[in-house]
Amino acid sequence: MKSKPLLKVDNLQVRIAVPGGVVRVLNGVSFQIRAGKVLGLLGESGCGKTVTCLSLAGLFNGPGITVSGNVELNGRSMMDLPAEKMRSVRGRELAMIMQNPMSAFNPLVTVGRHFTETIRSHSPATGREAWQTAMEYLRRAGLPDSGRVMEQYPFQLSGGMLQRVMVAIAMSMRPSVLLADEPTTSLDATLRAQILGQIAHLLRDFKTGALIVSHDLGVIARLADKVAVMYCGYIVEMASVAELFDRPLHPYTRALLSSRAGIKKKRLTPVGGQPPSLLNLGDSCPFFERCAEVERACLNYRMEPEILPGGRMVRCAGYGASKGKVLRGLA
Amino acid sequence: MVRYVFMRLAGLVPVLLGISLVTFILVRLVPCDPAEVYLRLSQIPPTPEMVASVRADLGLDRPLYAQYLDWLWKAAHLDFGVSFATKQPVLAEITRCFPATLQLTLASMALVLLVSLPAGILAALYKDSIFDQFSRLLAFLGASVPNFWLGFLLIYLFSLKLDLLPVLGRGTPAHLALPAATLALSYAATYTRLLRTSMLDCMSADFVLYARARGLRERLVLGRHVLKNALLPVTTAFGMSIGHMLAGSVIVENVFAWPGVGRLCVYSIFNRDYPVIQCYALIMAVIFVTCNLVVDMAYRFLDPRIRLGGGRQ
Repeated sequence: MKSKPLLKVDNLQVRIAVPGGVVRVLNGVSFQIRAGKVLGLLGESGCGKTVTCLSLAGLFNGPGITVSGNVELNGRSMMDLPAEKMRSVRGRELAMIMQNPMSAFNPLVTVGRHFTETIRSHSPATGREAWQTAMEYLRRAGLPDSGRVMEQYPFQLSGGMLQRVMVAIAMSMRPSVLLADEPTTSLDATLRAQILGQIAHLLRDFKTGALIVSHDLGVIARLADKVAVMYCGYIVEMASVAELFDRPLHPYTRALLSSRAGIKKKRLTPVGGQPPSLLNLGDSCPFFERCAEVERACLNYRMEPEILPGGRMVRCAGYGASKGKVLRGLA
Repeated sequence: MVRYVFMRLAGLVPVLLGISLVTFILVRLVPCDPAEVYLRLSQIPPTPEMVASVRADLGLDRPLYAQYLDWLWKAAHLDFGVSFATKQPVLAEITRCFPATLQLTLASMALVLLVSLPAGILAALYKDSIFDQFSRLLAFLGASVPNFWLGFLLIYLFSLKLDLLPVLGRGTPAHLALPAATLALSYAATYTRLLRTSMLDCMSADFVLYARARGLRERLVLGRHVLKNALLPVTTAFGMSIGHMLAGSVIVENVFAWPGVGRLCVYSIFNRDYPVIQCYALIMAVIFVTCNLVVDMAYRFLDPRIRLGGGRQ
């Protein structure tokens, strides 16, 4: 039996009004995350991965920006939450790990203070209690010398250590859902594996659901149960990790997967062309220009999601009701 | 730390030597015989015999380097000579006037902080609002209106038309209001804008987004994460201006007949009162260099990257 979803995102849309039109950043993003499950969000730069994270946390706002759709966390809608309520949700129920640990910490404030101020913003803990909690979580995140780390300033720690601190801060609140935006992009390969292991371990221990954003197929394969492939603000395909890597359905996913480096590959195959401008993006398929498998049906296709037997979702004209591509794809 | 301060203070010596030498030479380049001036100020007709005897008295007949070394030797013992005009020791004259200048400067500094801190913060928080636009206009005016003209405008408005404040002189706090405001305006305008820009820079920093993502209260985000970082460049600039304000009060002191060192300096320049000018220049140099040192110390205190060394970008 399936558990109730912790995070339910339904038709999330983000528009930015700019001189000359509207930039359609997110075009109806929907997904669910259950306890202990990890959804990987995969896509190239500028496809809306980071915006998805930020708007879930209510942090994507400013002049000209409209966010619509529905986000439910633990059964409660987050879209009309007053600012103070939203603040108390952020960091506690919905924790975040940022992309670049080197610039995510205030250079004038010690690591310990970053940690305790977070704890004390969400609980009535005293300074000493918060300090104890922080030390414990730093150890769990793989920083045994936690006392020293607490007293240091961010510039005295390495990127990997800061990333661990960020993981520790996020997990110390026992959040329902963790949003990790490119958690390991700025780290070198050995460290990447360690930190991913640490994150996986903590997620399992605390039964935390997670959204892991990455353009790195390896990260997604390592952590995620399910993958959503994003392109131009659309989720163009969503499937379990095994299914997606085995049999990618969307032409974009296929192109993305074939652009991976491999031992037997002599040359890398890039995805040809550039994504279209999101300014005044129409309703038709944004991958049309770059797609190697264009057909007549594509012209009339308006990005309706196709749910295939088995629950996979794909947004491609080739998988419409009357199409044989499904069979070809699955064969 | 102690070593650092010591090194900096040691660095003061060549700076002061250089400044004293330059002022010494510049003052003597003026085509006017100090001995004649001395006699005129003493109400004695400058006959050639009198001039010659005064030159001998003041040591002006000796070669320039000998005069300089003599002056330097005495200055090292805090003897800056006697004012031509008042016949008082120069140092006593300057120390007599200094409290007035210090009072004016401190009042102006307080005014600058009182205005520019809240104004800068508000202008950043409510970017492009009416308030921001208004502060922009004020900053523009404040930075471009010359001190002396502003002084006259304020006297005209508050003293002559509204009859609220005294026109000239020093005494009650009311006397302080106009000169302090005049001196403060351009600095307040500059710092308001500087703090605003600095705040906006910090507000878009990653660590502020992360602070919000951790669910900190907005007050904490702004106070600890935005303001603390935004104040760094402002502190540097402000420290540098303390010297500027102390030395720059010359014009304001003259407009408001404020009995401070600035007015003493201008008075001495008119009278070719060399010993006073020389001493004034030297004291201002010491103040400038000391202010810079204090700023650097404050910076080390505020920024752990400098305090602990080896900061990474």
